[in-house]
Amino acid sequence: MLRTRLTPAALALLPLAFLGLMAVGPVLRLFAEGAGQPSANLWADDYLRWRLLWSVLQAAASCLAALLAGLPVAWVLARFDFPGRALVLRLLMLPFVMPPLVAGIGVLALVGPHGLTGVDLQDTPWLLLYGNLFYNLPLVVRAALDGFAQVPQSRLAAARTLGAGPWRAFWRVELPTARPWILPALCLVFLYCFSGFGIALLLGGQRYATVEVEIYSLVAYELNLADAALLAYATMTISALTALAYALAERRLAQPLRFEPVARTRAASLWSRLAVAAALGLLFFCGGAPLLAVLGRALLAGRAGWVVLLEPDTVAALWNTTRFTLMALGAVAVLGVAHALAARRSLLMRALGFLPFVVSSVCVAFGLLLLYPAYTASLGLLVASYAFLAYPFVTKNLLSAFDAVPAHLAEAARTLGASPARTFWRVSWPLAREGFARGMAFAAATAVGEFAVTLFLSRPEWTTLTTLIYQHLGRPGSANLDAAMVLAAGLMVLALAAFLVIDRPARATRGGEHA
Amino acid sequence: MLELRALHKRMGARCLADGLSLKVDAGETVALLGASGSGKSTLLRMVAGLEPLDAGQVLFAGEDVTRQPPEKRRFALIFQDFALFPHLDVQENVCFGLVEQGWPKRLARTEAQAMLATVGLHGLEHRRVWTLSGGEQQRVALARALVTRPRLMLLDEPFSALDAELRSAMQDEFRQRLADAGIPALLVTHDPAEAARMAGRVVRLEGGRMRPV
Repeated sequence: MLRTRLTPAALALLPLAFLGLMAVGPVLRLFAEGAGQPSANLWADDYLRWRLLWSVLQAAASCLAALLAGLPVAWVLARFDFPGRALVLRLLMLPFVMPPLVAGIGVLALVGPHGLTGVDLQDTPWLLLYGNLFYNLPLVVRAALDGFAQVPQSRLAAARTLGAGPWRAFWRVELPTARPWILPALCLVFLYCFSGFGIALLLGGQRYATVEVEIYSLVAYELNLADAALLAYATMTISALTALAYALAERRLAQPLRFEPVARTRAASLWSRLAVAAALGLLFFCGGAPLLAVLGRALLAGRAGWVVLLEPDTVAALWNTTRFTLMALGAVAVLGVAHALAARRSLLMRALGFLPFVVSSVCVAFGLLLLYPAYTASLGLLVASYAFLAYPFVTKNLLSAFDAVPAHLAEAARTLGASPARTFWRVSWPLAREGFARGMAFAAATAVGEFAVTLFLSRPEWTTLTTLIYQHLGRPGSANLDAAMVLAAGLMVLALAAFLVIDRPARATRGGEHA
Repeated sequence: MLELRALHKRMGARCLADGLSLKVDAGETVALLGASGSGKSTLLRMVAGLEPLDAGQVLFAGEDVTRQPPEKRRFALIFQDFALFPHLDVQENVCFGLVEQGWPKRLARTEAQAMLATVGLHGLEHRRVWTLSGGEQQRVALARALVTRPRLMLLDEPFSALDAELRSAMQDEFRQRLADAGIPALLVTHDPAEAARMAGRVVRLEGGRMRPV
C-alpha cells in the first residue's frame, strides 16, 4: 500500500539492461568461446591446475592472515580510547581508495628488489600476501570493529557475573556477537584476493601469478582464447559461490542499534598502551608503510625523476584519467541510484548488485573484446566498463544507508501528509545521502585506479596514469623505475583527492549511533 | 467520528483482526488494551493507512477512507519512539507536516514556534532532536502532530519509553491537550492504569476482536 510495485520495476530496467550488455552477454560469449574450441582439460593440465589451486590457496591464506591480525587490532580499537583514534578510523579507509598498482609498487618499493628495507621478497609468495594484506587487513578490521561495537554492555556484564573471565567472555560473547560482521568480510577478502588483477600482476611474478594474470597472458600474449575461457569459467564459478556465501552472510546486518554498547575505556594502563601501540604498528606495517615507501622512493628520485610529471605523455595520461573518471561517474550516479532503489525490496536485485564484483575485470574485458569486436577501441565501451566496475559501490553503500533508515520515519512522514515521492525526497534521501557520497568516492577511486579493462580496451592515445606507470615499469633502467615511482605517488594523491572531495567528513545525524 | 467496520487482517498464521468493529466519537479518547502480539499496533497502522486490510472498512465522519493513502487521511500517528527526523532540527520537525500541507515556509515556522511555545519548548527550536531529553522529544512529537490540526490522533504506546514520573506527567499533559484541541484519539497501550488515566473508554483486543473492559 505504501509503495506501488511499478516504480521499482521501472527503475530496475536500466541497471538490468546495463548488466545484460556488460556482464551477462560477455560472459555467455566467453563460455561459447570455451565450448567451441578444443582446449586443455583443466584437471589434466598440471600448469593450469596449479594456477587455479595457487589462486585459491593464496586467497585462503590471505583470509587467515587478515583474520588473525585483524581481530586483535579491531578489538583494541573497539575497546580503547586514545588520542588520534578518530583519525586512525578514517585512515582505515585509505587503502580501499588506493589503486592496486600503487599498492603493488609500494610493496615492491619496500620489500622488492632494491627495496627501502633491504629485504628482497621477490619470487616468494610473501610479496603477494603482503599486497593482499594491504587491502584486506583494514577491511577485516573495519568489519570486526563494527561487530565488536554491537556487543551490548549488559550482555558482557552478564557473562562476567556468571563467572567468565575476560578471555572466556571474548570467546563466548564478544566474538559470536561480532561474527555476522566478520564472516561477510572474510568472503570479500577471499573474493578480492582470488579475482584481483593489479596486485597479482605486479607481485606474483611468473611463479606466483594468479589465474587472473594467467587469463590476461593467455589472451594478450598467446591468443589462446580456449584455455583462457576455460580458466575464466572456473574462476567465475568459484567467485560466484563466494559471492553467494557473502550475500547469505550479509543478510543479517543493518539492524538498528537498540541497546547500550560496551563503553570504551581510556588506554591508561601499560598493558592497554602496549596493545594500542601493537595494533597501530601492525596497521602501519600493512597499510601505511607501502604508501610511505612510494612517497619515499619518489622523493629519492630527485629532480630528474620528477621531470616525468611535465612530459606530454604524463599530461595526456592525466587528462585521460580525469575525463574517463568524470564520464564514468556520471553513469555511475544514475546506475547506482537506480539499482539501489530497485533493490530496496528485491532480493534478486540485491544479489545482482554483486555481479560486477563476481565477474572479474579481466573476464569482463575479455568477454567484451569477444562480444563487441567492432567497439573494442570505442570510448563509449571503455567508459561503460569503468562504470560497470565502479557503480556497485554506489549501489552497495546507498542500499546500506537506506536499510539503516528506520521504516517508521517514512511512515511518520506519510501520516504528516507527505506523498511517497515527497517522503523519499524529504526523509529517506537526506538520511541516505552520505551513503551515496561514500559510494561515489569509492567509485571515483576505482575509476582513477582502473587498470585491467584499460589494458584490454584502450587505444594507444588513451593511455591513463595506470597504464603509463605499467609501461614505465616494463622498460629497463632506473630512470623508468624512478618515473614509475613519481607517477605512482601522483596517482596516489589523485585517488586520495578524489575520495576527499566527494566523501567529506559526515555531519552526525544521530548522536549515539556514530561509533 | 471514526468507525471501523468488520476489519479482517491475517499475518501468516496469526489472525490480528477477525471482524473487528469499533467507534470513536468526536472528542473521545478510546484506549485499546492488549497483550504483546495481540495486533493492537497493527490495528493503529491499518487505521493510519500504513497497513492494508484484508477486508473491512475504515470510515471517518461518514466518509470511507479505506482506500485513501495515509497522507490524505490527516490522522496523526505518534510512535513509541517518537520517530523524530534526525536530520532536521526541532523547528523543522514541527514544520514538516505544515510544509506538506502547502504552507509557505515562513508562516509554517511562525506556526511551529507558537506550537513549541505551547508545549513548553520555547528556545529549543534549533536544537538537534537527539540532544533533547525523552520528555522533550515526546513534546516535539506531540507538537509535530498537533500543529497539522489532525482529524484524529493515533497514539502507539507513546509513553513506554519514559520513566515513571515523567510518564504520568506526560499522560496528564497529553490528555489535557487532546481535550483542548477537541481531537478524538485512539490510544494503544498494554498498561491498564495508563488506559484508565488517559481514556474515557477502554476496550480490549483479544483474538482479533474487541471486548469491553
